[in-house]
Amino acid sequence: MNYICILEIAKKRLINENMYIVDDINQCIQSGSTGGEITSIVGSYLLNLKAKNFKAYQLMEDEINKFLRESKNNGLDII
Amino acid sequence: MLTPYQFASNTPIQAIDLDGLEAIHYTLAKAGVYGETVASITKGTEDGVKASLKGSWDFLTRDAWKADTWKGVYSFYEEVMDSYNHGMTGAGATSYPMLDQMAKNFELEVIDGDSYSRSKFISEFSTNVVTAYISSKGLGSVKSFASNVVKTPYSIAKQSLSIRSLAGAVKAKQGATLYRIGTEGISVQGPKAQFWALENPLENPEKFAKDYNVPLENIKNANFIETAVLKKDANFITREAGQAPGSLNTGTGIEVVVEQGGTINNVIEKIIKK
Repeated sequence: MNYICILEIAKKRLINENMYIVDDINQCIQSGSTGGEITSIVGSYLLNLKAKNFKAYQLMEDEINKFLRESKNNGLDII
Repeated sequence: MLTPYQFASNTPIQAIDLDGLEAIHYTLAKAGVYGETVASITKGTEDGVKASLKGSWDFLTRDAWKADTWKGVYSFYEEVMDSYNHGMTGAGATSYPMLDQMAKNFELEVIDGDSYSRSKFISEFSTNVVTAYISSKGLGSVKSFASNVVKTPYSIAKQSLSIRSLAGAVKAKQGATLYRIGTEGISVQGPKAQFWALENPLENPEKFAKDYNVPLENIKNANFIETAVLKKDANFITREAGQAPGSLNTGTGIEVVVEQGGTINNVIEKIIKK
């Protein structure tokens, strides 16, 4: 589950008022300079989505958890 | 016959010997027959060997023979061996027999050698580096290096112990130029920037994108490039940037993650599109 997969899932599952999340993830990806930075920024955004937009978070919960778990296993503990 | 000098009851393949008293059979130890501590040590050793073998294999099958990689690895070895030789021969010594021998072997087995001699060198090299490092700096320093972390606003990044990452750490510590590209307004710049590459993204954007797991568009659309070097004593870690979640880890770029304010000589240049 890399950041491109997460973006694709967001595009498929989020509609109408939640489409801004797709733009946000896109911007997270564009702002990064290395793979670790992009993974960290995207991961942190997704983690914080739980508090900011729980309904949207629920639509991708399994994938978000997988992304965070795999990041941790690769040495990046998302906060 | 059992003698006071017998190691692992003469069965060093099947058994381990932690205290020189009695052999402990590996499979039983792992199953917990000798208690949780021994089982934990046994499992840790097994995982360590597996990780080491995988690391060596990855290293050998990917970019092991790139000149710059070897330069970094050898610098790391040289630093450790130098320190080790100082410890063995006393401060101020000018002759380092182990280092001299190592340089000869490097030339013979890696530069002039074949794939067998290169892989043999790698396995010996890994063992020697770890042994020398522990001998010269003590087990505590190895433990502390291995547990190095850097906190960023988004994550806590841990030090990777792959050979490539260790070589990258030495390179960064020795003052190698660090690079990052970005887009003004959305990318971090200056002392707050924490994620850096050891290669210039503009030299070969396609290769950089692959090695550092960055979309090629990020490089093409970037409107600034920043360079810096590590501040002396800055807390930093190195890791494989290509090791993205769920990916097959095809990238070989090493990124440096440094504490905020941990860089100096920061220069930001605008990228002018042609």
